[in-house]
Amino acid sequence: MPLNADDISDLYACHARRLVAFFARRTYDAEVAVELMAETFAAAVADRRSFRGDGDEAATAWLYAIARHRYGDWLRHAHVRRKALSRLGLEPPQLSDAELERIDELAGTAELRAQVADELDALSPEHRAALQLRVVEECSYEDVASRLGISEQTARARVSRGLRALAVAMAGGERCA
Amino acid sequence: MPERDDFSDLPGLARFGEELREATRRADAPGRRWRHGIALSLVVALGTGATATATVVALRNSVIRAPDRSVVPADQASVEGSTIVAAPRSVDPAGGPPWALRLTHSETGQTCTTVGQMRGGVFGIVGQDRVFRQIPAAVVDACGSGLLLGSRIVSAPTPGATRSIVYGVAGASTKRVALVAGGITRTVRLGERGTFVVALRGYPEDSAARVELTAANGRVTRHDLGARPGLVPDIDGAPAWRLDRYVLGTRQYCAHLADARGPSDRFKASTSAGGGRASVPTACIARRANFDWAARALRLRPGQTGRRGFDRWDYKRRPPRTLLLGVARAAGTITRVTVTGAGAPRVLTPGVNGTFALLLPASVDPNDLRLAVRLKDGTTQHGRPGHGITPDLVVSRRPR
Repeated sequence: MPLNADDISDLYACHARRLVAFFARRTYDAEVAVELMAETFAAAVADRRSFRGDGDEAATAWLYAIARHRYGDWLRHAHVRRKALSRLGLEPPQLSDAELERIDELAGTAELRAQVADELDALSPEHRAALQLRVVEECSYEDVASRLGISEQTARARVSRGLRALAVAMAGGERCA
Repeated sequence: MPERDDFSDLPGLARFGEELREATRRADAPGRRWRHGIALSLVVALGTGATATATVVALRNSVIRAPDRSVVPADQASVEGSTIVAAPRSVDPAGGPPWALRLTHSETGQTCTTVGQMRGGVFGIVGQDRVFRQIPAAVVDACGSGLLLGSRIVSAPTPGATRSIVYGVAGASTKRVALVAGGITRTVRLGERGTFVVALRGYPEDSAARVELTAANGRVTRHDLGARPGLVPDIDGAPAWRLDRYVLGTRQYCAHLADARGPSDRFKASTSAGGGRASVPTACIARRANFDWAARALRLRPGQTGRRGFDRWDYKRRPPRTLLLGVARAAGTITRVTVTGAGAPRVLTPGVNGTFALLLPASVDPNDLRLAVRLKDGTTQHGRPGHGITPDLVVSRRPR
């Protein structure tokens, strides 16, 4: 059944906060999360007449399908494409620093950062140093190699293994949580 | 469904919720749907009405046929004998017959409009094959009541010959209709029931077209048909740009210009010069920089491209221009940018996302430009292009 303005408004009131947290957990950036949430709802407005489901559950599933699509779009393009927002003539919400901090809190990104820091500490010094240079300081592999006094091939291997070890550790953490 | 949120700790989300609700209502309003229907009816003469599809007319056929009345809804079915071609005419920028607006009544009493061209007293349209065909009286573009405004895009076989036909039925009580296009305001000639039609070169956004209606009581209402936030029209009517900001990774804000009309909106025959989507280099500022804003200026020539990589760009065959592009470190921190060094000072109002852009003739030397940036706290910072800019990531990140 197509959705009207009131239905969209209800969906927003019930899911906007959750969607922001949903995006923040994935992008680690509160501002990007807010933009993606806004674009998701703008896209929902654009597609409201094509919704054929019935009931709250179907509407929620439909909304999160749009959200996942927007997230995939962000991953591909590395920025939020505001196509639906532009069509509606809307700008994404501008939030204060306090609000952005609140979103970080809702998404638990602070805990996640702490967890990443812990897992980084648990890595071997060689892998940690390689990750620090390559990922945090954004050095080229050539620079990483010269600063660590190793070959470029070894630098690449250390970064790759470090990331893999980190990913395994983080995945394990999630399972336990 | 979860409980409704009052967003007490996130007032910004509450405000956006209200804006979203209003925008949805506007989109649901009959007048809006009518206008939208027109904006989407591109390339060939085709009709859409307020409530449903109407008649699609294939110009490649030798004759435009009237629709089968049995399939036309009553609110789009014109009443025989009610058809008139309004008096206003507009010169075709592509050199074709003048543009006109035809009015008729629907069976439900609504006003229906059809945009077309007049040749030898016949109302019709020139197709992409350059053949003029009469449009039967039963063919209507759109029907509605009250104020009717629209912009119709007419594609063309050669790039640059695209036209936008801005038209409307403002009502007999409307005293004056002005069209703002390319920064120039002109009063348009009104016909029966306040009808008007104006043909413009390019897409509506290329001239940031806006209609201003003055009612008998002096009240002025403005209706944007091409202008919208973030739009940067060219200085000489070339395709407009869209100014946007994006977050690069988690560390930089970047201002960026790209074609205002995305590839999916285009028709192959009439894409802006060069085809595909034109773009320019970005101007980025680090989120933790010690600067409040960043700006860069550069000369762009047709055919210029950036290095292939993460943020590659392609200027296509856009006309030579000097571009000033800037971004604030935080949205809302800068309120005004005054640019000197290119003739008379130019004042820019940054978008809500803190971006600003200025297109200038290529004769302007980017090194001559100076900026006076007024901050929210009332202070003014002075700088020149290059201020606050974070180095190009493609350079800093490569080789991968």
